[in-house]
Amino acid sequence: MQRLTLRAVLSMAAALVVCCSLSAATVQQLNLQQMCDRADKIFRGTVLDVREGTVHAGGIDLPTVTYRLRVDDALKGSFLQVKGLQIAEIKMIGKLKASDSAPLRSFSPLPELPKLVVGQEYLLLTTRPSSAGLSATIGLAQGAFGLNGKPGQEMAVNGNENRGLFLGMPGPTGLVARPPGPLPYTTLAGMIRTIVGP
Amino acid sequence: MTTIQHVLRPFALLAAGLCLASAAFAGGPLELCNPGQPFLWPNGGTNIPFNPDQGNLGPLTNAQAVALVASAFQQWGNVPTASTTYLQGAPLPVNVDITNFGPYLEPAAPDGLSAIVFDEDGSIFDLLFGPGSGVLGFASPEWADQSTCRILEGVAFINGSAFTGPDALAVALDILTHEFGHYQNLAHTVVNGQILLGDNTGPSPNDTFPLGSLTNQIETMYPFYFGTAAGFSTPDKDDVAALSALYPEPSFATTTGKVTGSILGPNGTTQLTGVNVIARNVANPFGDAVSAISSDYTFDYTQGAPFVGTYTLRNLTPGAQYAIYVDEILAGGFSTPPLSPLPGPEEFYNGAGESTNGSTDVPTAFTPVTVAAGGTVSNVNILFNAPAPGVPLPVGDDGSVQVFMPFTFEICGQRFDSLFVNANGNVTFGASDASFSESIDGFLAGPPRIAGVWDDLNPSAGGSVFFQQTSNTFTVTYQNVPEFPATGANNFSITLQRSSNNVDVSYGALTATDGLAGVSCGGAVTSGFEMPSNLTRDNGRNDLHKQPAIFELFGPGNLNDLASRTVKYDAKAHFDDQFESNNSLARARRIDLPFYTADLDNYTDISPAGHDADYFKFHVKAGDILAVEVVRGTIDTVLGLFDADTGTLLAADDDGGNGLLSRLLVQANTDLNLAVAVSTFPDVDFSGDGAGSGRYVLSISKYRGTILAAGDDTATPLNLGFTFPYQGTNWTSLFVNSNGNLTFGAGDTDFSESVPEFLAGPPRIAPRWDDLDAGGGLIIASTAADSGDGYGLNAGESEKSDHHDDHDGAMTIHYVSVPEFFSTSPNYFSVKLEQKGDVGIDYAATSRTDGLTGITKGGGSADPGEINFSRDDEHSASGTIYELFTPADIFSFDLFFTRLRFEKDHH
Repeated sequence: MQRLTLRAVLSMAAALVVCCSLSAATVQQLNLQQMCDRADKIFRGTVLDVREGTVHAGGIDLPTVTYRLRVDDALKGSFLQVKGLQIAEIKMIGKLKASDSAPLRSFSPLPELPKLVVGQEYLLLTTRPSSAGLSATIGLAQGAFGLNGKPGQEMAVNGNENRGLFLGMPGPTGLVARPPGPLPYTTLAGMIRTIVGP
Repeated sequence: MTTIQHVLRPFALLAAGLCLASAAFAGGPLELCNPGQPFLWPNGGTNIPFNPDQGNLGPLTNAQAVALVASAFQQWGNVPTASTTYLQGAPLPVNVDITNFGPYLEPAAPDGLSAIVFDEDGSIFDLLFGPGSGVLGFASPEWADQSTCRILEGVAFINGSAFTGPDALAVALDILTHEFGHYQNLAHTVVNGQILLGDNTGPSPNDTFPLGSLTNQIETMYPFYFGTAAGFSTPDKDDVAALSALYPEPSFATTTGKVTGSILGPNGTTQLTGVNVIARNVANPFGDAVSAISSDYTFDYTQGAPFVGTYTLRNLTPGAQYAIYVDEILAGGFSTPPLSPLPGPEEFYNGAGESTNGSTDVPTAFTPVTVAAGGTVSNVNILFNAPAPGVPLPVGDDGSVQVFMPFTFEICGQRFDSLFVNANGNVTFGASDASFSESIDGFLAGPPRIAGVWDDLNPSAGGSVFFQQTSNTFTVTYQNVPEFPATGANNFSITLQRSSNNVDVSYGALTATDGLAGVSCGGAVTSGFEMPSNLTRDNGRNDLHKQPAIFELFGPGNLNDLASRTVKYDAKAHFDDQFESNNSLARARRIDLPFYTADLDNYTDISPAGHDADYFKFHVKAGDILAVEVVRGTIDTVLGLFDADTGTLLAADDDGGNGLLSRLLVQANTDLNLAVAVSTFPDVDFSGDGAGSGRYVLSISKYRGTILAAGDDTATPLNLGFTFPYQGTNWTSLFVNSNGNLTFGAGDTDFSESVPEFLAGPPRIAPRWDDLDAGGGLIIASTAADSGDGYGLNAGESEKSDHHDDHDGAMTIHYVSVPEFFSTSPNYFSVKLEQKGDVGIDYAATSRTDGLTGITKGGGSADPGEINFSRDDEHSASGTIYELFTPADIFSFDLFFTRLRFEKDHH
């Protein structure tokens, strides 16, 4: 049996899995390279609009939340062009608010997908839409980076506080692996550009 | 049958018995039925059922998969102090796949099955999340009975494509064991796992306990998984405690001990929620360690409510010595919202030495706690240490520090015992705000705030921020703090006075020329439509009772002039709903239309939470188009429209768009007495038991006329039916452009307003030329015959409007709840063209952004320069006059609830 020490953990292969940082789900731990490889779209964007809806799949109407974002920095994938803007639409399964039936209460087992806030900026790595039009951020919370900070100096941090982001791959130059936490958007975007190429 | 029909978009008709809020869960249990009472599988967890799928699971045959599921459940069944057992039921009636998984994922009602779905090849997961999402499985209770607090059914979905490689079975067992913890209503916990993410072994920054191997010592319910070496498939001491607390064997109470206590803020009294408490056996700090999160057995975090701030550590070894400390949760999802940052350093429980004074209650010093079998050690309270007066607060750049005051301060009727000192020149109550970009919308909609100079200040580059206090005053001082990155030095202090509720902001030397200064009662009290003031106009005390936000925005054109001045505020203001008590249909208040609650004379709020709904009644005629909208507010509103005579709920709306507010656009096809109900989610039966409280601004208006076929960037030709003299030409028709303007002779779909195009284009009347999307609202053309009392925004009549217009001819174009493109902020305004050549523009609720307002002959008109339209202005209807509002300007669009008039014969 492998001894579990800090060193052992930090040197583990990237094939580890991690329980999602949200709700009662298990999600694979993915490093940046793996997330970039899997992503259909990678972009920095500002949320313009969010709406609830449904899609028909699996024999029922499933609840959805559709986010529309203005793409401010396209790193991978193609985007809609609307009024001179690049636009991304991400339709995720889920609801904005929980609902239950009294006197019975139902608990959706669905993992809680990142809830994006109108007006907020994000760096998102998203899956290719499925046949039902549904997609998600890669690794759920791992593929959704909130951006905060002054223009040109934004820091990026995902829903897992960037933990495991560089597990099994070279980290960003000049940054230590521990403790993890926010890192400059320019650094992260540069690494992504290197991974995905032109 | 309903007598209301849809106009533009569907509204949500209520299904029977819908929608109770899913409460904020607690940390120990995943789901709580009531405070102190988690949902439980019945009979002490005996024979918890599960119904396996018929299919295979990745490389596993169905038989192997079923055996693996049984084994994972049994990992919990092996806990000797818990009474849970598990019962494999009949297989699911179908082999669940991509075509039929829906009823198991989102069942409409209990079906008697607790499905364990095997997604053989991962296709269900790919469909739900897109290929390559990384989601491997999920599980939880599925149905529970609120009346008995019993779990009725559970559910789990397992991604078969995840289990590959030599460790596949072991990993699968780990994951299933964790997921089945959730299935039994266990939440995530933190004991040892966080150490592997970089945390210290004791109160940070100290590694109190020497770190050795953590093999097999990571708690199963830790939210992150570190591989098979973590030992997830074997519940650890903390997991045993959590399961045994819910489903105890009698031996659990008699063979183990408990510690209980409260986690208190640096004032020694505030009960804190979301603080992780860890107990480590000094002799075996990683193998014998348990945790709890303060308030984990309640979802009502109100101060003084049962279980708030409390914790219970269970499964303690009798006779062992435990060191107990508070530890910040760094990452992961938890049922109790983790408190971050903590209001003081992490620290040990220190027995009699426990206090809020860091010089005597040293964070690294602990007093061991020993329990007896079957015993409980109570009142093990941990008090966070307080920062000292006069010592610089570690606010950094764009940071915040919560500071507790020696008294409770009341601002606009809201009482707070602490405030957040924000680096960027302001203090807030109830929530921090790290925003470096000052804005009116943020000032009005955010938390209650006192802004000395809300600007991008940077205390990390120079100066200091500190507080001082007496029994009656609390002062926060910004001393020589530069703007970001390190420019200049700014000096001011904010003093709160307990006895008077006064606030004095004293300014010394300032180098910042921009910024926002003032006091806001916060989004629970403001309307969002407050106008800025000149804070240096006089030396009197600014009374928030007159306007719940008094402020001035500085920038180019209005430079900061507060240096060496003192600006005084009276924060005693208290506001009451002017229409109470109108909590039921029977008590609905009769109103005249149009009806707005933006001004204080019509102040409306939902208060207290859970015990208020507001009803308003009025009359409509057949053909009336009705717009009901909560146009501003920070609470999650719901709207209902009732037949006031029969009590029938005709229409309802939860969220009208991308926010929390609500809207109904409907048309009556018969005369009706109607009542509008306003409440908060999830009160969809409008009984008043919603979750939120605070002010809302309601707009109700009715219209008659023709709904124009307008969308995004459209120009709709319209015959006036009379001759309208404008800019030297007699017009019998015009174009109604969806982007907030009317043109003559040619339409214009340009969504990008500009002064050159305004001057060069066709003759134009622009109430608000902006990128509006009429597809999100309505544009209605009303003739004189459609007019009458109560119609339009202000009945379409200004005081100087000649009523004979109704006989001579008039046309009013109403923009009704039209949002900006890619937005849902509503805009209501109307333009009335009178036969004699006069133009009236009435504004109701509008967003506070950009646009161009004015009139022009166009065709290359000369630029007379921009003016500043003041409220209720009158101007000539000839020539060019305009104001340009730009987002970057401190003078954003501010014509809401005002009126402009352009007269042909104006002198």
